This record gives sequence, structure tokens and C-alpha cells, in this order.
Amino acid sequence: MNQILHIFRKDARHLYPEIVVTFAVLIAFASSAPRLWKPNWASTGGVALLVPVLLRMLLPVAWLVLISRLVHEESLVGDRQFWITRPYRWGALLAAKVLFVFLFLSVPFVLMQVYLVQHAGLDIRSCIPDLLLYQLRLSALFFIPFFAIAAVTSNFARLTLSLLLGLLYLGLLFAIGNHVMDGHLFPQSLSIAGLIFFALALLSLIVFQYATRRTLTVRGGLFALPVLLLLLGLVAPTRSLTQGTHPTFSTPQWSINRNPARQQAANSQPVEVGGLMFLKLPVQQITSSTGERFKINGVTATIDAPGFHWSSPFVNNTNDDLSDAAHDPTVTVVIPKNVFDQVRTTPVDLHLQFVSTAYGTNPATRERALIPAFPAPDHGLCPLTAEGVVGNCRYAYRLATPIDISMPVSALPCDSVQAPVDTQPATPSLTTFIGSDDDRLAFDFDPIATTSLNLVLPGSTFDHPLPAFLCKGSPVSFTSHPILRRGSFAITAKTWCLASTRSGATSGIFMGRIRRLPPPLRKNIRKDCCTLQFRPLISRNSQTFVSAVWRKGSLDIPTLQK
Amino acid sequence: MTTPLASSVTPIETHNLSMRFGRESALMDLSLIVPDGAIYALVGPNGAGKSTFIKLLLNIRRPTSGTASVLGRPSASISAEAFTEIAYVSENQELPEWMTVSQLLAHLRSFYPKWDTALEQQLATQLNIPMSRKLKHLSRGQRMKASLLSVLPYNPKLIILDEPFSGLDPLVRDELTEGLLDRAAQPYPPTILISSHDLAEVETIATHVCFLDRGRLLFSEESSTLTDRFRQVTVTLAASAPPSSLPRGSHPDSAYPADWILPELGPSVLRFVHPHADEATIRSEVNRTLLNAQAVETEPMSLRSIFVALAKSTRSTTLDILKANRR
Repeated sequence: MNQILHIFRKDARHLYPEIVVTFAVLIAFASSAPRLWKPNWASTGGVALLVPVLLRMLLPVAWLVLISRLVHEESLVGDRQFWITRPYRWGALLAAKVLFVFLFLSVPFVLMQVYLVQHAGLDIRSCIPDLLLYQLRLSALFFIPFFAIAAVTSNFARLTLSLLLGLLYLGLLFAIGNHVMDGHLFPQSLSIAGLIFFALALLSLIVFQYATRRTLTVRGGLFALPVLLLLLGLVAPTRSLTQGTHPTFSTPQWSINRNPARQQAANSQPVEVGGLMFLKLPVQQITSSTGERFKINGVTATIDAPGFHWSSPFVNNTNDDLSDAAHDPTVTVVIPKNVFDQVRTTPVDLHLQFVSTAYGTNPATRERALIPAFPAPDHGLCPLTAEGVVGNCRYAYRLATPIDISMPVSALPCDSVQAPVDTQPATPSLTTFIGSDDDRLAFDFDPIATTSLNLVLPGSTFDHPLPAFLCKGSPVSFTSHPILRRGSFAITAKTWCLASTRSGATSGIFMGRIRRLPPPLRKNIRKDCCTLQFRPLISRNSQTFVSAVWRKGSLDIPTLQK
Repeated sequence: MTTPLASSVTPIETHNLSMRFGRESALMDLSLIVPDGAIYALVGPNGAGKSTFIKLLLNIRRPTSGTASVLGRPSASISAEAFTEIAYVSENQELPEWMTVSQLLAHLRSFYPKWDTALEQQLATQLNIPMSRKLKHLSRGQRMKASLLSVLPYNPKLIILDEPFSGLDPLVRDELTEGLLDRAAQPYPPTILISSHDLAEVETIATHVCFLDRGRLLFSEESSTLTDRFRQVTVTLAASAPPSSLPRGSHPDSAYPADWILPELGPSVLRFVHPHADEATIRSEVNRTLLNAQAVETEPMSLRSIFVALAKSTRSTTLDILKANRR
């Protein structure tokens, strides 16, 4: 312990200029961050906007410099350092460095975040688990990687170069991973496990380096680690993990809505993006309503046809909302175009499994609009000026789940209205919402997450918004929608024509040349998912020009032309 | 000159110690014993493997094969605790440049339970070191003195100095030497291993000498034995001696006995170094080999002369090998 403190004191004494600079950047960040909590902060522009953005970049640079100076004080690379032939215990040396990082990087950062949370008017006690979780993530993404690279380099220049090369290398691997796993739904638990594995592996390499100073081996480990993570990501049983974390919902149950009118109404033109077909399917709830709102997170599709089988992993969904309020719910299915082309004219058995989040509805709560701020559910706070302008509502670390808000508003600024609030002219009750479907921990050095109330009067347009004002003392009603459960449900459609989902392709005319004229001529042909009616126009050189009229579904012209 | 430690632990012992860097051998099958209380000079030209040998002893590098023990511990297990008894000073050592000499000593004190503050002050005065000056502002000689000052106060049992005198002016060299000799004159003197590429730097203080060349150990023995053993031999030849008077053979150089180091044949004189100083044997060898030998004179040699002769000899052997390969 003595040796730990002795080395720590030496480092603290020597590195105090770097410590002061890091603290200065931290303080500057803490003082500039609240500017971005205000509505329309982007419109302020100029230096006022630039400073918080610059400080966001400067903070990791300050950490990098301090960690570099700290680790390189007793460099682990090379064989000429004086300390390696002195009675330095490697464990004590490492512990002293870790203590330094904790006291001069982690603790000040926590204090800065606590200050910002308090400054925003929020209660820090309500978000201590998030605060701690955030520090772990910060360590895993910044402090530990910086420390690991510093441990295998001999000076700041080499560290910076290694870091830049490392970022390029990670970018390349990320691009490869993204290409291979394009759009796949990666279970959050797997992402967290991956991050924990990454941090622990880096820590192991750091400990190994301090214990043995086998720099080449540790460099090899650092190089191999991202590849290992990528491979683990590729071979991870994401499908079963997703299913495992999303038990099947017993209720409600859903099915494809086969009502032709609904199909036609629901289906817009399938969108092809980057070789993927986005199909919209009309669905309907076949059990009684549970009063929950469902947000789709991901879907896996299985397509079976005679001699054909295709199955997809779980892919991210486009956030389809199957709330009870939605009259005509649809779900989006993504299928590679080459798969789609193979079965577009063939009836298939389509099996879809969705993972979704179910949101409930809490009883409405009522608050009075207060100046300078009034509370919002889930430990939030919405600022209010005397004029009646509501600022962005603030939350610590993560936004609340969606909250519907209704309140009486005024078309005029409140301080210009002479009459008392209760006797003000009747104004429409405005309904809006705050919060987010995404309940994940936000990752910004600023712990305050904001959500805009966006008060505009009915009849406003995007170009000409008519601001609404919430006057002091007005009742504000909140209806929050907490996450009740996460689960999965399946939808199966037998003998379903994927191509029939093409809106506007239910009938059409083709005029052109076909080689294999379907006998007999002028006969209506039911070609699985479409009905064709041919009419010959002219024959020449054993080729016939025909007009073809098809109904229901799309015509696979290339197939006929072969 | 010195009184060995009562303990029977051999300060340094190696067996077939080898180190390769890729295809290059830095050390080959080095086996030696450094006796307790010795001032052991590890001599050899640049690139002979002296620094590598020291780094293997201190577990800074790991040997390709063979074993070494230092103060009774396998070198591979040398860690923090062992360095309370081992001192290492090198011309290439990277010191914490931002510290003053005082700060360095203050920093190091708490690492050593046996740190002798009185001795530290005595040495600081003796070595005349500017204590308040930062290490980065010290001259080469002052840095070496500061390094030495930072290892002597904890009374190490083994002091290893890697090229400590390299590039130093004679005054500083003397100051450092005096500092070391003072330690060696203590009732329980430390064992001192000094590496140098120039024997003249260490011959005045070395009790033992080891000669390394291209990773090979040529000899390792007491200095006095060495000077007793080696002789400069001068043979006066008959002026009219025909070339045929030399023994019949191939090349004149290779015609001399293997023990004759660096033979130089003049018009009437042949000079060489002989490693076995028994005059009768030398005369008998000369008379057997040279038919026209008239007189044989032998002279004792200084350690430096022995070192230079051996260095030249091994170098010319290398050249011969290279020439032979070309042919």
C-alpha cells in the first residue's frame, strides 16, 4: 500500500499541470453544457454553439494526454527504463496508476455529472444506478482503451499514431461487420456482454503487460481482440438469444388481414433499398385488446414454398406501432430482392416472428404549471418562463417512456394577458407528448437528456408555427406509458402471394415480344399469383408479339420471355 | 583486497546461457561464475554481447536457452524484491529526467528498507553532485555519478555497471572509481560486475576479467592469473634464414602453433603473444617451430595489451574465415 501511495503521490506531483488542464476542460464543459438544454439551441449558432461541441471533443483528448503521461512515467516498452531494475512491484505500480485514473479522471467526471444533474433541477438520487452504469461504460470506451494503448507504446506521439491506426482498423472491421450483419437485430444483452468482454479483455491485457512487459504479445492481443469480437458477433446465436429474452406473448394474438380492401389500402409500393424489398403487411388483432401499445423492435421471416425455403435472422424493424389506437396496423417485412424475385409469383407459406415492446397506460396525473419549472413523470422537469414558454423537458441519463400531455394553452404570451388565469378566454386544450420509445442509456458526456414539448396552436404549419403559451398555474395532465413487458408473437400466412402486396400492380398491360407463347392463344392463364390474359398482335419469325393483361398481382415478365 | 560475504551464495552463475535475435546469436553457451566479493570486469568489443548478458541476468530479457542465477535466484524469477539487493547502473538508462537529483533520491528512498541516508549524504559530497539540478540538465559524467549515488546508499550485495565509464573524462572516471573502491573496501563488500569495451577503464580495479567476443566467452579468470599467464614473446631470427627454414606447411600464419597469438614476422624478428607463460615451454616450442631462431625473449603484459591482442586475434580469425569462404 505504501508503494502504491508513494507512486501515486509522485505522479500527482509531477502531472499537476495536466491535471489542472483536464479539470479546466471539465469545468468549461460543465459551464457550457446547459446551453444545449434550451429549445432551438441550434439556431443560436456561432461560438456559443461551437464551444460545447469543441469541448465534447477536447475532453477525450485531455484524458488521452493525461493517461499517456501517467502510464509513460513508468513506460512498459523497452529495456532501458530505470524503474525496471528498481524494487517496483508491478501490482503496486498498476494499482497506483488505476488509483490516479480513478481520482483524477473518474471522480471529477462523476462530480461534473452530479453538478449538471443538480443544475438541471433534477434529483441525483433518482438516477444513481444510471450514473454508475454510465461510468462503467465511459471507462470501457475511453479510459481502459487509452490505458491499454499507452501500456504498449513508449510516448504520446506513438500512442496517438497507434490510436489513429487503431480507429482506422476498428472502422474497417466495423464496416465488414456492418456489411455481413446488415440490419440485424443485435440483442441489447449481447451488446452489453460484448462491451463487458471488451473491457475485461483489455484489463487482462493491461495486467499481463504490467506483470510481464511482453509488449509484442500484448500488442498482438490488442490487434486480435476486435477481430475476436467480430467473430463472436458473427457466430453468436443472436436468434435464440433474442427469442430467449422475448418470451412469447400469450395475448394479444395477431394475424394477417386478408381483407382485399385492407391489403390494397395498406400496401404502398414495395420499396427496394440496397437490394432489400420492404413489404408492408396488414395485420389484425384476433384476441381481445389488452389495452397495451406494441412497438415492433425486430422481425424474423421464414418463407416456404415447394422446393424453396428461406429464413432470415432477426432484423431491425422500422418501429411499427401496433397500438390499439392505430386503425389499420401494418407490419414491415424486409426480404432480399433475390429471394423476393424467386417467389414473387408463387404462393408461399410466410411465417413471421416479431419481438416487440408492450407499453401500458398509467392513470393520468395532474400538475400545475409552475415557474421556473414543473415536474414531469419519471423524475423529469419542464422549465417554464413567465411568458409561458415551456423549455425542453429534462431527464437524467435517459428519457422517459412516451408521455401524453394535455393542457390549456394561450395564443398570447401569458405576461401580456391581464386577466387572471382562471378567467382567461377559453383556449383549446393542447395535446402533445414527450419521451422516447428508446429507453436505452444516452451516451453523451452531458447527463441531461432533453425532449421538446413543441407547443404550437392547432392550425399551425411547419413553415408558420403559431406558438402556444402555457401560463403559470394551468393544469397539466400527464399520461405516461411505461414499458410493461418485452416479448414476441408470431404471424403465419399460408399460400400468401408476396407479389400481391404490390400496390398498383393488381392489374396492368404489357405489350411486347415473348418467345414461349402460352398455349392456347387467347386463353386466360392463372399463373399462380397473377391472372394473365394474352392477345396476339403480330407473329414474325416464330416470335409473337402479344398484349398481356394481368389481374391480381404482378407479372413476372422475364420468366415469360425466356 | 576484499573480504567475501559470509554467505555461500554465488552472486552470478550461468550455464550455457544463449540468446538469439532472429538468426543472430548475441550470446552462445555462456557459462561462468562470478565469485563473491569480486570486481569482475566483463570486457569485449562493441557488440560482443555484454549488455545482453547483463539484461539476461536482470530478467530484463529472457534467454533463448540456458540458465542463470543471481544471488541464488534463477534470473527468470528476479523481480521487485531482488532489486533491493541488486544495483544496476547503465550509460543508456532512461532516468526520470524531470526530477532533480534530490527528488530522485527522495523518491527512491522509500523503496529500499536498508537505505542509508548518512551514506547518501557522504556520497553526495564525495561525488560532488549538484543535488538541486534536474537530471535532464546534468552532464554525462554527472548523470553517471547521480546514477551511482542512487544505488550505493542501500548497500546492494551485487552492483552491475554497464559501460559506466564510457565517454567520461578522467577526473569523473576517477571519482566514480573511488566511489566503487570505497564500497569494495567495506567489511562486507558487494560483488561488482563492470562491463566495458576498454579494459584500460577497469584494469586498475578489476579482480577478475572475463573476455567476450561475438557472444562467445574467450576466458574468465582472475586478473593476476591472467597477467601471470600471458607473455609477449620476441624471437630473433638468423638474418640469412631461407624461407624454407619455416616449418613446411601451407600459409605462413597457419604454420605457427595455435597458441601463438598475433604472430608478426619482421626481417629478423618474430613477435607473438603466448597465453601460457612457462618460459621453458615457450623456448622449446620456438626451437621446434623455427629452425633459425637465435634468441627468445619474454615480457609480462598489461591487461590492456592482453585484451588488445586477443581482440585483434579474434578479428583476424574472422577475416580469415571470411577470406576462406570467398575462396
